[in-house]
Amino acid sequence: MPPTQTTIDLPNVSVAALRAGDGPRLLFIHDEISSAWAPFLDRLAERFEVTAPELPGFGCSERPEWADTLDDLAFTVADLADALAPTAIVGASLGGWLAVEGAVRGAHASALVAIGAPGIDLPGDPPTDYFVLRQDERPALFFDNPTCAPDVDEDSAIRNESMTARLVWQPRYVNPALAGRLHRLRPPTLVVWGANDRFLSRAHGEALANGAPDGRLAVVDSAGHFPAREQPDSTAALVAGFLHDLPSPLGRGSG
Amino acid sequence: MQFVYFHLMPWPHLDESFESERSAWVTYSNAHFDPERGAEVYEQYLSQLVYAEELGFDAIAVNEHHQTAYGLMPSPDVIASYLVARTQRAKIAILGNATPLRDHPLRVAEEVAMMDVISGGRVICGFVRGIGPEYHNFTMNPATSLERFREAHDLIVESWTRPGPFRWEGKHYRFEYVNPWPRPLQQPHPPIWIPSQGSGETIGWAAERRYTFIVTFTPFRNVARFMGQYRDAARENGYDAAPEQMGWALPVYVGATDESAIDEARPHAEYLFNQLVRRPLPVFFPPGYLSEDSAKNVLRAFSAIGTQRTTIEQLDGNSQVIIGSAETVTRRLRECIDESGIGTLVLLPQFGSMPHEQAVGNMERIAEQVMPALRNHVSAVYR
Repeated sequence: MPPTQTTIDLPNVSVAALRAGDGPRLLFIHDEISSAWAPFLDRLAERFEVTAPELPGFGCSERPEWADTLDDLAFTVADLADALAPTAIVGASLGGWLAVEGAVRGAHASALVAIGAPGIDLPGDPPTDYFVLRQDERPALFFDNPTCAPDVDEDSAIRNESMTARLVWQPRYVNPALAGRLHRLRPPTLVVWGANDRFLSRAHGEALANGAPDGRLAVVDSAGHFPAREQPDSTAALVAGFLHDLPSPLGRGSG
Repeated sequence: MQFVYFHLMPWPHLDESFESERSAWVTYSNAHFDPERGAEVYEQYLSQLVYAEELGFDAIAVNEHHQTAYGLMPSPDVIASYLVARTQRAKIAILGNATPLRDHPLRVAEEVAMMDVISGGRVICGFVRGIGPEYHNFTMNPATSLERFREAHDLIVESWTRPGPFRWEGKHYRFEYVNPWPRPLQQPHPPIWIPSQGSGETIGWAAERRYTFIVTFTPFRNVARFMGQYRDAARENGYDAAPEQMGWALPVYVGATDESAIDEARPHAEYLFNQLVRRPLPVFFPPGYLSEDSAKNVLRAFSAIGTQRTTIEQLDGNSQVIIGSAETVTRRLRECIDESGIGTLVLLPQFGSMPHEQAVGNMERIAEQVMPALRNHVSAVYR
């Protein structure tokens, strides 16, 4: 079933979103590659009502003047959570980071899933600088199987990379204050990592999972930095299993 | 016609091991810089810059690039202040200070004002954004570069023209006291020149302020188009652009014959464009550095610049460089001036790996055999 288009009116911006499925509400925050619907979301939509907004400044969405920093979009995630009241927030890479930053700023949900999320400052173990690599060199960094890199239209690719740079260039893919704020991650948190992530070491995932009051790390085999793109079935199953095992209202774990 | 002697201060000693490098920018190790040879290179380049005054150039120009074998002038103000002390008449043109790379642009306002006062009002102040590689090696955000460039410009000009102290409440800069001492000697401020590779936004912005607009390292057909756009933008702002407001920067080489000139210039022109300029497209244009429209144009049309090998025949053929006998160079420059309307020629007689004696000979031939014939030439655009 193809997703339907919808608009979410926030206090400072209208956000375009795609929605599919029935069940508990799941808010998905897209990665820096593309905000388009993807097979991973189809899998999730078999069990959840999945809403995938397009963040301001990405894809077809013009950047509002105020959307300048990671902090700005972290508050957009918090606003989206206020508007949708999701039971779970799931984000991938940059979107996973924004989900975490939104949650420490009060984005409310019963569960949080951060897939390959950067943001924790680990001196001496930085993300690989892909910005100096040619486009044709990047799939080998990001994917265990480089042919899994999605096709993205030229306009969206330019806008996505420009907006990503605006958010992550300096300091590079890191918020030095984040580790000291992780105590505010109230919901149970699953951190998902590709077994062969060559962009961002697993130590970043471990630091995030260990810093969250109720956090755990799960690893997806045969995947690089974008397991939701490279292994959509197993990654979605992992996410669904985590949410299912939680106490109600999401799952039946202790119900 | 005014003539500017421009130097990039290239590192001329790249050896064959450089072939396996991606680029002379960002990642090329500074272990390859030899300070002993560097001292000799600086001495030769500085003597060329000083000699340009004696040869009759109206201005001597320097620029700013960082962490690269392409040029040894991370601080143009250091070189410019040396030239202020060693010259009497020539203008000293800084083309330019890369203001967005600074956290405190008032340092530029202060240094330029110092040099302007010390030189008796001989400073030309250029402002540039800094090119893509510098946003990588300084890790400044390329997506906010244009905003910072414009705000730094507004701040510097206001600091020169409005009595301080005053507060600055910008987006990128917020200062409690703006009150730089000294103020510049030239009033209301030193002439401002804007070197550019021709983005439409910059052309309109420069024309609106009547700043001299300098196109660098660009095939001539684009130079002519940009200058037409500049004159149009000037008319939209209610005035006719003077020829001197339009400048063109390019390597020029004069030999005894066209053939010998090509032979003599070949290794140095190809060293410049194939070794020193070469860089991967994402290093050249980091994300957000260009507007979305410009980025699309660059991806489609300009992906070859600095990313593919070129030859002196190609460079000379599209007049990115002009090389030949004195007669040929004079004729071709005259034709380009007539077509484009420019009144400021920014010449690079030394380029790439060209050794000192050859560079000095080229300067002398340009000054003695080309400049006199063009000195009073007025572009056909203005006749």
